[in-house]
Amino acid sequence: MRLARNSKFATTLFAGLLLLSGVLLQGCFSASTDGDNSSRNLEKITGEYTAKLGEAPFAAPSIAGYKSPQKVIVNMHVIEKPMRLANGTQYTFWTFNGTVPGPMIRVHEGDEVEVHLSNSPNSTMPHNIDLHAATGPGGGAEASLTAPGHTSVFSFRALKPGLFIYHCATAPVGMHIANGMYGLILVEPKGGLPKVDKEFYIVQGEIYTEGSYGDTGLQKFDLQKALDERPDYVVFDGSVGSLMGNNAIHAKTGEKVRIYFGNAGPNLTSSFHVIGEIFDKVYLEGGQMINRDVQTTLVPAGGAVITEFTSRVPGIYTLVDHSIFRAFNKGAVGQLQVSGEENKDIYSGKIKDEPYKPAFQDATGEPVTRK
Amino acid sequence: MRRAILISLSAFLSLGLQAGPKHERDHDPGRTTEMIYIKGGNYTPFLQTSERTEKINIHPFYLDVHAVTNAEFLEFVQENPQWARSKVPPLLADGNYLQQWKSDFNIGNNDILHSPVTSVSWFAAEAYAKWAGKRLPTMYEWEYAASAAPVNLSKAETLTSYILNWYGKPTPQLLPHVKSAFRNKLGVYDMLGLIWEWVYDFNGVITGSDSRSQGTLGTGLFCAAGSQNAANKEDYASFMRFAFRESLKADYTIRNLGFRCARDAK
Amino acid sequence: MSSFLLLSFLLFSCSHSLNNNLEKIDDPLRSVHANAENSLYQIGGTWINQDGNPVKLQKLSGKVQVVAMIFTSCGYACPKIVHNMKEIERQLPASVRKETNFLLISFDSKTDTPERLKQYADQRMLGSNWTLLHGTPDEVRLMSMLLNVQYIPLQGGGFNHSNIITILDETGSIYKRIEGLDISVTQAVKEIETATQS
Repeated sequence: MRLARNSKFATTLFAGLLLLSGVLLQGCFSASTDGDNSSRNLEKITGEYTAKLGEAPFAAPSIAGYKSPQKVIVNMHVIEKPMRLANGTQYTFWTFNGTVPGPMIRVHEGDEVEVHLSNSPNSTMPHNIDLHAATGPGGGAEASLTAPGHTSVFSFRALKPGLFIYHCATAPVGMHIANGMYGLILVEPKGGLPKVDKEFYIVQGEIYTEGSYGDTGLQKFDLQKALDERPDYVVFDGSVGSLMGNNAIHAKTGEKVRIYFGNAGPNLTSSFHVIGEIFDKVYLEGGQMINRDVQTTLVPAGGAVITEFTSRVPGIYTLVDHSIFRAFNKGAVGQLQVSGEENKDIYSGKIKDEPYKPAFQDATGEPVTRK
Repeated sequence: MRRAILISLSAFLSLGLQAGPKHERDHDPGRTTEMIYIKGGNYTPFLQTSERTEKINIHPFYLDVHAVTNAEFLEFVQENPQWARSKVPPLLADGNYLQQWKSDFNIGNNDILHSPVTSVSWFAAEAYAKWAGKRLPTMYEWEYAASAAPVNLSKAETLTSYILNWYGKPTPQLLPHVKSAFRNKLGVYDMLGLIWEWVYDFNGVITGSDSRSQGTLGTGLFCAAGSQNAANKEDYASFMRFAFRESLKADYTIRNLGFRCARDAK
Repeated sequence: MSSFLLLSFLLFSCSHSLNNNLEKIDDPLRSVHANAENSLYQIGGTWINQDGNPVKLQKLSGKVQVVAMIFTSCGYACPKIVHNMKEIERQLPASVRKETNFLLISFDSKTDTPERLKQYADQRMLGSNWTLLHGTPDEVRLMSMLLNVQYIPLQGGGFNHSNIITILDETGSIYKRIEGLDISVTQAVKEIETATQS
């Protein structure tokens, strides 16, 4: 009797949990997120293609007509070369595919990702890649340690959807990251992310130079500043001004904009904010939980976030790390230019400007409200 | 068919892949690089293998004052043609072996005669050392010799910043001549800042705590584990050398990787 | 990557007459493996087996070799490696076992004399298809380079080393490397079966 009641109770509880989890799941990323059965019953790989990579500030294109898990080949080339850090300032970056950040990779949950990592014969250092999307020792770092003039190949199954950082993890790791070896890999849920109009790719990183901000010439890496976590440069997409003026990103009014934003660090946490916008959706830490109507979102070093908003009013919108001295004094700033019809109902612009004459003043001349 | 290949292979082998000393060079290294006596002493390894700080006793030895040059290596290849670019089996040197030379026995560029020979495999370096009546230095010998303070660097520059600066730059198209970086207190040139160098036991870079760790033992150099084991955090440059060694296989040939030889002191 | 391999394969084909009789093979990596130029046996050396007899490595050709580098005073990892190899031996079909030899090469040139190796083989009941080799320190180091096995002697005796079982094909070229201590014996057996059939 007691047993029966218990088991009935258990059944009800179980059904309730099922229902609850069903509701929760629907509210989320429309992907299987419960538990770890994903790794046990791997789906069959049905095809193979070479990934089309995204070059910042543009996201990798989404794969049209995706149906089932594929083998995705990702070609990465490590190149060490001096590049522009700011006007008149150069820095020898270590790069994936010659850019900072490296290319954006886009795959689907369940895909087998085969990474071909080539290290230029002209490189001084060995390099490797740790993809936070990979499940396995070092996120691939061990399997991909590559001497100059060599290529390593390894593969992993993208078990979990989300937006993930990848970076070089060769010792000393901090220096390899500070020198520019990072990027993002998006693992789309099986059903894909909802369609938007514009997708951008931005990664924040710090650069530790011997000279101060603005010093010209080829700057060297400063170990002490890196150890002290005292960068002179905090930048979006590898250099000061990479998203400013002629390099600004563009959208039209009414368009849905999605930004894949990563923070490579190596040390600082970012407070990502778009001045004059409120994020409709934030995929917290790049994962499955969605927060809505967010002003500023925290992005840890070695983390990422997906943000979405609708551009409604034309004008220039400034993207910042809202640790604000970084934005205006160290480079962590970019621009989104929105063009299109004004919408005075949402935002009037300045309606009038008139002299202000307070009726009462105190001894110092400050206005006083009279009771 | 496979047997047939083997038979012809052994004919090829009778040339002797591991070049033996052609001359009595043990006490007179002769035409190869001048050596300097290193007194020996205690060396604290950069990466510790156990909880306690382990000191390594370095016995006295001789070390080449500079890295083996292209001109010197050419002499070896001429005397041991099985090590010529077109003859060396892929097992012992990858496809970029001596790529900076014009052909088998012709460097083809006088500017690099006295630059360190690079793009040579460990097997080739080992064979050269044997031919010269020498051997490759052990990792500890090499690190010990490299830890001596520089004597002719500009005062403003610390060794760490000098090295980091070199590590931060891509390899130049033409390598500078030997003795162009700096000399250290032991009288040895360019231990750092010119090229990377093979050591005899480069595949002894094991950063896991013991052999119970699974499979490859290289995990320690990735992320935090390595830095906890490091003797001194200032030694960032050492991290890079150990990471570099860990990325190597003995048949690899790399544009900025050469070697110098050592010899026991009796 | 594959085009790079193909290219290097082609280059070597041009420069070495040995390769001329290779058939068209789809996988360039496999064809390189099957090539005797990659035979480890070409390094020579003065190896001595557990019976005190000199061994020319070329004599090992003709059979698939299951190889590991160990030292007899090793307390944990090496016994496990040897155990794994014995388990592989036990699970091999008789016809394949006949074509397979098991090879242990000692890191420890000083302690692991041929007599000591003999003792070790007897203790662990290693049969006649097991070869235990003693070499000079230089030869052992060279072999570790060819097998891509990491090791370093410790100050207080013993060695730190990586745990790898390597399968060599009949020519002595590396066919497969199996890393770790908790290996899949079934998988290893399959690999050896394929290696003997190739």
